[in-house]
Amino acid sequence: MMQLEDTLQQQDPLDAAESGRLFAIGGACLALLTAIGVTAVEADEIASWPLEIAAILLVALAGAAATVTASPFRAPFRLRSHVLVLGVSLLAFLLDELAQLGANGLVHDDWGLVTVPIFLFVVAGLRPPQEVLAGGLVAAVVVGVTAAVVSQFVALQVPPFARASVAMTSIVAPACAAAAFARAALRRLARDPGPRAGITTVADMVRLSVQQETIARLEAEVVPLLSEIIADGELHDADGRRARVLATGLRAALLADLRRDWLAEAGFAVTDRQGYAERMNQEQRTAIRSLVAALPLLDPDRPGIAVLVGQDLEAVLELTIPVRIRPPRAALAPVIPVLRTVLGHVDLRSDDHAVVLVAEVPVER
Amino acid sequence: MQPGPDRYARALTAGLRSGALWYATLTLVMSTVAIAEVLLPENGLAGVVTPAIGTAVAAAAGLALGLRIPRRLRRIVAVGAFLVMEAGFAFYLATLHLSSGLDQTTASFGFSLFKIALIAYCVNSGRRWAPAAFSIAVVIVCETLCAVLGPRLGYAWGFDGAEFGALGIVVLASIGFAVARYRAEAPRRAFARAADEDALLHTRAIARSRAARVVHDTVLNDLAVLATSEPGPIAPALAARLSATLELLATPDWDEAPALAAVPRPGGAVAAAVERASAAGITVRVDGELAALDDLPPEVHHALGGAVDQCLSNIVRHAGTDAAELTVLPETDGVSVMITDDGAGFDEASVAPDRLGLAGSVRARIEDAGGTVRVFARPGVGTTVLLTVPRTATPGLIGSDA
Repeated sequence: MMQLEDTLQQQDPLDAAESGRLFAIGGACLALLTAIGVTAVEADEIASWPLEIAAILLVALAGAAATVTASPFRAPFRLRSHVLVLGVSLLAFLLDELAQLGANGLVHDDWGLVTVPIFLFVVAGLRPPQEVLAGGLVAAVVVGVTAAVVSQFVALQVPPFARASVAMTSIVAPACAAAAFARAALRRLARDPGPRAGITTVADMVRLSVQQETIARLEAEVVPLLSEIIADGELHDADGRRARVLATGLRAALLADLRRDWLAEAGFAVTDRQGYAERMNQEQRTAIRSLVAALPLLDPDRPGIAVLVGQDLEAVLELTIPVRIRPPRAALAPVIPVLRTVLGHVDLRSDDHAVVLVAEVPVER
Repeated sequence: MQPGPDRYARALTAGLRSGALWYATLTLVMSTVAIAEVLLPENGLAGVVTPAIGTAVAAAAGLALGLRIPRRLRRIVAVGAFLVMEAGFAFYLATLHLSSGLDQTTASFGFSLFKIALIAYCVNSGRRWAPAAFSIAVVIVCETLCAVLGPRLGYAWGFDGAEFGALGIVVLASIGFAVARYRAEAPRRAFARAADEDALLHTRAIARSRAARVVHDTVLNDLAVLATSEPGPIAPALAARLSATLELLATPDWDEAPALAAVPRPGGAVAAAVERASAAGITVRVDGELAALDDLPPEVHHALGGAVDQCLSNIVRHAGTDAAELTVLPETDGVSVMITDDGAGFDEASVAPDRLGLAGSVRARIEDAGGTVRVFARPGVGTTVLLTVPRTATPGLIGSDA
């Protein structure tokens, strides 16, 4: 299993997948609207329209990058995506300042000081808190230095350091807030075990029902045989032969029971010579069951196929799940981050006949 | 990974509260610093420590205190704090005399950052829609104050883009969380169902495995003995064994069967297994510290007893010897039991896959208890089985099964 990062997206992939994607889309839209709106309101402060348009396009690019890389299909959101989104949004801020050089009335009302924090909040749910803070501080330095450098060209004169302080406040405060948000949410998540399946209450019932099934199997022939032998106090030839036949049948039945692994129970024809399926943990099994449950139109006439091959602690699972129609992407989207969190590399493909999952399956022993 | 709507909502609320505190506090502190930098050259220190800056510092302290309010009082306190902070903002507006060279509008950073801090504080007003509602109220009241009082105090009303940006973020966050909660509901339910189903089937698989061990160790062994015994009167030991098996099968719950649950001391289930082997005709020499077994948790002890019983049973049936040696070795974190015979031996790799004894009744049982099994055997040389179990029970190991 890949090393899990301390991010909301990886610690609670099912819940965070949807909010991460929505925040990326919402943040991208808000940033773009802010840039366009503020530019329209302060159009008289624009000295170079080509640069301003390029800056707005960069905001759109940062938003598109955030939206695409925060998609559940590309989960998890990586460091390089963070660098890309933040870097492009900072570049947009720089171009906006250059576009206003000599005509800018104030720095603190420029849209870059709103759009950069928006992207900081977008990545807060996707990256570790320390990294969010580090990114924010780097952004604050870039913004502060830029504000100080352009200060002499701004119409309203204040000390450059004061201007840089105000500009940096607009970045540092949201950066700390975004990092604090991620940290507190993760801590709370770690502290809160969440709802447990109510299985413990039925565990005894399951155990007893299995025992009853076993006894019912024995009561047909084995119990009468043993009772007869005890009652007679003597073993006959026929008893020995019957005991041999019963032992053979019982052994075969026990073996069949023990070899019925969870994938077979789930309706798959299983090829797993090394017994990897039984070494998968509860989260891995549940994620794969969720994938099957997420497919709305399974084809009951064709069995699924599961093949597990591997070496030592690493196996590759190829799961072919027959479907009657190609499942919509929306049905698969929530499951993919979960699969990627509990398994290793995951490749999921679908067509009109089947959904095929190929995943690395790390096992403990 | 335990998904759950309340769990995630609680985590987000905790995150938003913490983030809002940092945002509001830093905004106020840094705006105070920036204002001081502007005012200091013109008014000196006395001019900087104006009531306005005092208000900002008091607001920052108030924010920190606001987070310590018990949840049931939070809404009331939030409304009270809202009114107090708006009054503070009006006071701030009235007393902050920005230099004539600065932006003389109500969108000036001196006011803007204060308003943003108030919006950030609103995130603490509760869950779901409360932050958005309070933030909108803050913006309406602040801008009304700016529009009404600003011109009278010498400030033209100005559109505060940063303030509306902050409001947009809070509203967007509220909408985003609501939509995300709604859209995640169906997959969350499917995941919960899958987890329940998996837990149920896993419980069933464990139960099946345990039942198989019991049947193997009792009924299957009995049938094997009967199948290989000579016709004629049965030995009292065999009769007793068959009776014990029938008694077990008649017990409603095997885990509560007296024969399985009661562990005679000292040596417990292991000593009982030795007695059974002796009754079956082999001499078992016991070495080491049998009392070390008494410290084991009952579940581990039962598992160990069942495994030893099966090892000795294998010697009786397959080794072709009438002697065995059992050594108990206490270790730092557990206990090891070594069972040795000088019988026929075997090649573990060549054991038929349909043989359940070593794999199911010994190895699976000990591994379920968190222990390990090592087998040293060669055809014609004898067999040594080393069972090692921990001194603590493995979570999920339920009761005894042998």
